[in-house]
Order: sequence, then structure tokens, then C-alpha cells
Amino acid sequence: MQTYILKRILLMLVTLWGITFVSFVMLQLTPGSPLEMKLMQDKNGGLGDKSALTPETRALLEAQYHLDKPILVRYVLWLKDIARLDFGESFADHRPVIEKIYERLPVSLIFGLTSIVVSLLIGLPLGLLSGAFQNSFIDRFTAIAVVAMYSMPVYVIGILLLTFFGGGDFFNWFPIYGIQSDDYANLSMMGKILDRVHHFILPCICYSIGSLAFITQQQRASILEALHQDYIRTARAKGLPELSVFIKHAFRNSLIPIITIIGALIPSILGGAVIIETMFSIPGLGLLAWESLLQRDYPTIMANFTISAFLSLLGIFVSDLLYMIVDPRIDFEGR
Amino acid sequence: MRNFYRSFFILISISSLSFISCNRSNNSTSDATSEMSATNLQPVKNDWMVSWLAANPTTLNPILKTDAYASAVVDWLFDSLIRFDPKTAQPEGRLAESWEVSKDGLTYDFTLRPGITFHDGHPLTTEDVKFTFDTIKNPKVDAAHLQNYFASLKSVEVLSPLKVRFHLKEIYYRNLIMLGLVDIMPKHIYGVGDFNKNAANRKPIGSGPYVFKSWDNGQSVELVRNKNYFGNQVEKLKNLYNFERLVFRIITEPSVALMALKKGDIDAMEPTTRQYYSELATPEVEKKFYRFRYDTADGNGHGFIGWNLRLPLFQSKEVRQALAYAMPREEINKKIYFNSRTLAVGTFPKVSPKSEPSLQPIPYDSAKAKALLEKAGWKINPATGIFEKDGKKFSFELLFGAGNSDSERVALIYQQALKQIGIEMNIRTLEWTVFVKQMQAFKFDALMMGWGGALDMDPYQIWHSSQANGEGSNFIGFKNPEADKLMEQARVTLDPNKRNKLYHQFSKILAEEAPYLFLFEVPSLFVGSKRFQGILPVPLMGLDSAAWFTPKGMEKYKEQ
Repeated sequence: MQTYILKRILLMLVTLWGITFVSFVMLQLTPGSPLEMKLMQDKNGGLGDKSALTPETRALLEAQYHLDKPILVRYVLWLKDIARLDFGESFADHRPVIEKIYERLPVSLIFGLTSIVVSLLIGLPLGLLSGAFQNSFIDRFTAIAVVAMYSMPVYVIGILLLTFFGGGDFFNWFPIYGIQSDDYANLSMMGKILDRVHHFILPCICYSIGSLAFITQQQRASILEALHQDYIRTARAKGLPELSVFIKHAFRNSLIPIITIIGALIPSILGGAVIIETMFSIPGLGLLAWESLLQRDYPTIMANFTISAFLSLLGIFVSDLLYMIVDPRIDFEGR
Repeated sequence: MRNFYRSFFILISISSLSFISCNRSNNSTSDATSEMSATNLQPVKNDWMVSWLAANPTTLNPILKTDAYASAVVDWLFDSLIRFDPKTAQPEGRLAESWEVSKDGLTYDFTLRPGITFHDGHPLTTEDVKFTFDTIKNPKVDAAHLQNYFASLKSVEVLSPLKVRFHLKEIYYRNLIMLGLVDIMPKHIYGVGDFNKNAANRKPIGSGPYVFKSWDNGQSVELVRNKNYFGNQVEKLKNLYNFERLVFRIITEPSVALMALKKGDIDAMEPTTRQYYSELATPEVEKKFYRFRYDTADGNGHGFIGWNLRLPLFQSKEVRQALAYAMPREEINKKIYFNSRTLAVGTFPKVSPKSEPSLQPIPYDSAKAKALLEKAGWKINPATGIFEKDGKKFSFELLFGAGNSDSERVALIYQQALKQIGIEMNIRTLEWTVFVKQMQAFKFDALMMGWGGALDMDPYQIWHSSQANGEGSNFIGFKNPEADKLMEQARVTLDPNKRNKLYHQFSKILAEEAPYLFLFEVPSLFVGSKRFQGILPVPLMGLDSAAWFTPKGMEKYKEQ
């Protein structure tokens, strides 16, 4: 077990290194550079009529951003800093990148984790029910719901939620932007929590809907598969009550594939947040990544890539460990 | 939304034009009704004004800022030496009590008002003025986008704590604008340590009518009234700044901002054309909000298609004129812009005194376009239906920045129209950064984009032949000796009337040569709460929100 974990961690580091290398090179090869962005007059890409770099300014900026060096040298310089957990300074506003990430990571993580929990809490029972009562009304209903959730783009769902539950034209139940009220600082502890939850609900529905559909469908398939296994027939044959067959044998075994899925959900949640964050004005990591990309703010983009990659690898790692806990037969030791 | 005017031309993708409107106006089309100009109402001073920002500002440092959102906030926090009276468009003192221009037009002396202090109580002196300009010119400061504009400033000389002298390299009619509209920053704060990383970049300290209170990253920025503002003692300024608190809400999705407006979370915004003409055109909105559209003398800018004049294809004037006649602008205006746009007649807005008054927009006329092409030696190939000359068919590529459905629709309609008369146009979009790089390398046939408006704009950067070789913005390579001479003369003509005459002649040359296909002027659209009074488009700035106020009994927020 310990050697396995150690091996996995080493492998993770190598993978992480590979990811950073590839993304670093790809990023640097993307047309446009921070130098061009320096001339832009505004975030929408305005360019002043006199915006041209004099050769001296260009040389100075290039030296400042190490753009005068070859890509590989730049990568090594970056790697050196990263080894000391120094993500550098943002090209856009000269703040330490880690500070910018730190402001936003908690918001993204809370949304990401809550949405996984929500989709598990709803998706697992829903999948179980529709699998257990195959072709029943509930199964049909779930199937339609899953297809609807899959096929509706998240911005459509978002706009519908905003219009109907927050816009004021129909119901005025939820706030439509931000993560807290103006008077947040003056609220009591309980008030603060409630205020956050209030702001949380609509975006959280958007965040969860994709993974919810996915989990429901997977759980349904997986319970159906489990129910057709030989050991289920054995359990029934030895006279176990149906409920205990279902819970003790089928349910537990059907969970194994789901656990891997949870690991795989983490990257998609971190990556797919730009639209939701824009729509609900949530200052999260996705929006930061998107803005930095447009500004060619290399250090911030790289920090984003690295941290997202690390979290994704961590998710996969944890789900592999969970594998062993759920299914004692699984043992990675031998590999 | 106060003196949020730019002092120079900005090139933008057409998509963003609507977000960067600059609130200057002339000839307001005055949907504004008389109820707004009521002057007998008593202003209360404890209400708030809540405005909308479409993105988190990058920084709140007036020199480092590069986005309109930062400007919208920073303008209330800092003061410049002079300002332009929004009603008369004449310069008047702000920090400066008076100023004097030497006979040769190369030195400018400013005298500051005595007793002005920054928000931290530190007195504002000419040392701060010198510091600000020296900082802009310092190559280590991250202001590459500004530095060229101050290239003609030789040095700043402190004569006494209240007297400062600027030495300039050349006579130029925009020198006063260049020197006078820079936000003066405190040396004792921003001069300490690395300017680019200064802590005050996120907690700004200025001398302006409002004091920075908080910036909740990605959520909101709040400012409170400066109780010790020097302007309270200045006749022309003391009736301005009537709100106790200014709140800027950051809402990244325009349709949500509109919902917030309707709910009352935002007091005023500049809606998109679609929002203005459909979502906001309801009786319920009318009851609670003012809504108007106006054109401005300096303009919000205009869109255009520029022909790469370095290519043989676009050499002939007739061809360029034909391409303009083939553009169904009226149809596009109706189909895409709710008929809200003015057809551009040239580089200056139609209502600008610089524009030749007799110029008329080029109408859609496919027969004329064909005739012009034939005159230029092009013949339809009956087999393909496409114009050909010397065995080459008339085909080119239109390039523009991606991500805006309106420009795509404009391009598609134009493509169809050209096809009908026998010209093949291919469409290609590129991400903006890549597009700009391509443009600066002159690698394009034709490109579509826009210039934003500018205060007392100077066409030199865009049209002078010296600007066609890399450093300037004459990307299309327009070279006309006569136009060059007119622009050079205009730059050193300090009398605005004489200068406008020169620009009239220049406008005529542009209209004749048709180096751009001028598309539309972008109007200003505004919607704001009826709680406010004094909202009336004024000649220079359009909406001078510094003059807005809430009459007694109408206040919504009550500051204790």
C-alpha cells in the first residue's frame, strides 16, 4: 500500500511536469504576446492611434518578461520559480500571481465541491431508483430529465433561472449577481452563511446540472449491470430478502464505477466554469484564467494550468484510493 | 461617467464600441423631456448613485489603467489641471487657477489653486505635477500605451510650489488637452518603491471629489464624498458631486445588468442597441427610467472597412468608390441596429464642426458600383458572373476580430451584396490579438473595425503618410500629399475656426478618395433612474453625471 502510494505520487509529479511543459510551450507559441497587450488601451482590445512600441521600450519589456530568451530557457526559469512555489508576478497588474489565485480559488472550489456533492445526493438515488424499477414511470421520467439536462447548454439554463427566479419579472427570490450582499460585512455569522447560500443556489444549479445528469445515468447503468451478475442470483437463491440483495450486494458493487467518475469530474468542473462565472458575476478561477488568456498574462495562465492540473491529478488519485476502500478485491500492490 | 472622455483615438473591434461610449454630445436628438431640466428642485446630498461595470478593473492607478472600467472609477478620485466646461466646451481651471501659453506656443505655465490637499491631507504642489508627468515618460513604468502621446513633452520645470512650466518640442493645438487632462498623483504615495507594484494601485489616493472606500474584488467598488474637496469653494464646481456615495457594481453579463437595473440595483447604464430598442422599450421602463439616444460632436467612434492600398487591387479610386456604393448600409442599419445608427460620412462625426457640412453619406447603388468598376477596366466574365481584369478575378478577403455577431452579420450582408454585382469576398475572423498583429504587419486585403471617439480629434495618426510605415496607425497605407499638407497645417493652427476649415478640405479629399468604406457612427444610448434630476445631454460630454442630483424626498439610499 505505502509503496503504491509513493509510486503514484512520483508518477503524479512526472505527469504534472509533462502537463506544465506542454502547456508552457503551447502558450508561448500562441500568436500575440504580452508586448502587444501592453499597447491595448482597454480590456476590449482597444488600440491607441499612437500605440507603437519604440525599439528601446520593446527591448526593455522583452528583458523584463524574459521574452528575449529561447522558450526552453524561459521554461527552466519558470520551473525554478515553481520549485520554490513562486508563481511569479502577473504581467497584467504586477501583483503576485499567487495572491490573485488565492483570492479566487476558494470560490471556485466551493462551487465545484458543492456541485459534486449535490449531484451525488440527487443523482445516486435517482439512478438507483430508475435502475431498480426499470421501464417504470420513474425510469422514463429520469431518462427524459437526463436528456434534457445533457442537451440544454448551461447558459440557456442560467438565463432561464435568472429570468424566472431572480429577474423580478416573475419571481424575485434570488440575487442575480455576485456571491454576497452589500451589507455582508455587517451580518452575524449565521446571517453571513445564509446570505452566501442565498447567492449560491442559482449558480450551483448550473454548476451541478451536467454532472448530475452524468452521475444519474452512470448509476442507473451500473446498478443494472450489477443486478444481472451471478452473485445477485446466488443471493436471491439463498433466500435473502430483496431489499438486502439490493442494498448489500447490488448497490455496493454498483458504486465502484461511480467513484472513478467523481475523480474525473473535478477537471471538468474547474475548466467549464467560465460561462457560469460570467453569467452570475462570480469572481472565480475560470474567469481569471479566461481574462489572463486574453491578456497573454503568461504567469497567471501557467499558475492556473498548474493548479488545475494538480487538483485534477489529486482527484484521480483520491478516487483510486477510494476504489480500494470500496472493493477489497482491488489491490494495486502487484502492479 | 463624469469626465470619462478620451483624449485620443482608440482603435477597437466594432463589438466593443457600444461599451466604450464616452458621453460627449452635441445636437442631442433630445428624446429627453422637459421634466428633466427642472431647476427649482432642491438637491439632497445624502443619496447614492449606483453604476454598472462590465468587468473587474485591472488596477485603479490612473497611469497604469488600460480599461474603461478603471477610468469610470478613477475619474472621480483624481483631478486634472484643467477641465472642459461640458456646456461650452471651453477649457477652465480645475487644479490650476490659471495658465499661460508663451508666444512661440512652446511653453505652458500653470498656476495651481492654493490650499488643495490630497485625500490623506498632504498638500498638492507642483512637485506632484512634475512627478506625474515624469512617471508617464519613465520607460520602466508600465504605460507603453501612453508614452508616445507625451513624446513632444520635453520637460516639466517646477518654478514654485504653485507654479509649473511645461517645455514642449512642437506647436500643436492639442497640447493643452495633453497636459491639462492628466490626473495628478501624489508623489509621496506613488513615488515610493516600485510604481508598478505600489499598494495604492488598489487603494488609490487622489485629490478628487470622491475618496476611495473599498474594492471588493470582482464584486463592487465604493467611493464616498470628499468632505474637504477644494471644489466646494470653487464657483463652477461647487454645485456638482451631489451624491454621498458612489457604488460601482461589477456584473459581467450585460443581460443580468439589465435585470439589475429593472430591479433597481443599478441606477443608470449604457445599454446595448438591442436592449435599448427591445427590452427597454416598454411602458413599465418608461415609468421609472429616462431613456435616450444622442449623437456627440467628438463621437463615440465609427466602424469602417479599410482597403489595403499597398495592393494593386485597391489602387484605383473608382474601385474603392464602387465598393462603397455596393454596401447596403441602410438595410444593415434597419436589420441589425434598429435604425439607430448614423451613416458615417467620413473620419469626423457628421455633427462635428470639423466635418465638411455638404458631405452626404454614400447611398447603396449597385448600378453605379458596376459602372465605376467598368470605368476602371473591369469586365464581367459571363461564365462565372465575376468581374475580371487581365485574367484575374475580383476577389479579396475581409478580415476582422472574432467574437461579435453584429460584425459577422454586417460582413455576410456585404458579401451577398458584392456577389450580386460580381465581386467575390471571403470572410475571415481572428482572435483580436492575432488580428492586431496581422494588421500591424499589413497582412490583409481589407479589414473591418472601428475607431473610438476622441476629444478634439486629430486625424494625423490615422491618415498622414508618415504614419503608414509601422509606428503610426495608417495601417491601410493612405498617402496623399495634399491631405498631408492640410493635416500638418491644422496641427499648428491654434484658431479652431481656421483649423476646421482645413479639416473641411481634408474631409472632401477623403470622401473623394474613399480609402475607407465608412460604416456607421455609434450613438450614445442611455437609461437612468427618474430619481435623478439634471440629466440632460450637454454639448461636450453628453451626460455630465457630476451635475446629477436627487431632489428632496426622492432619495433612495440615506447615508447616516
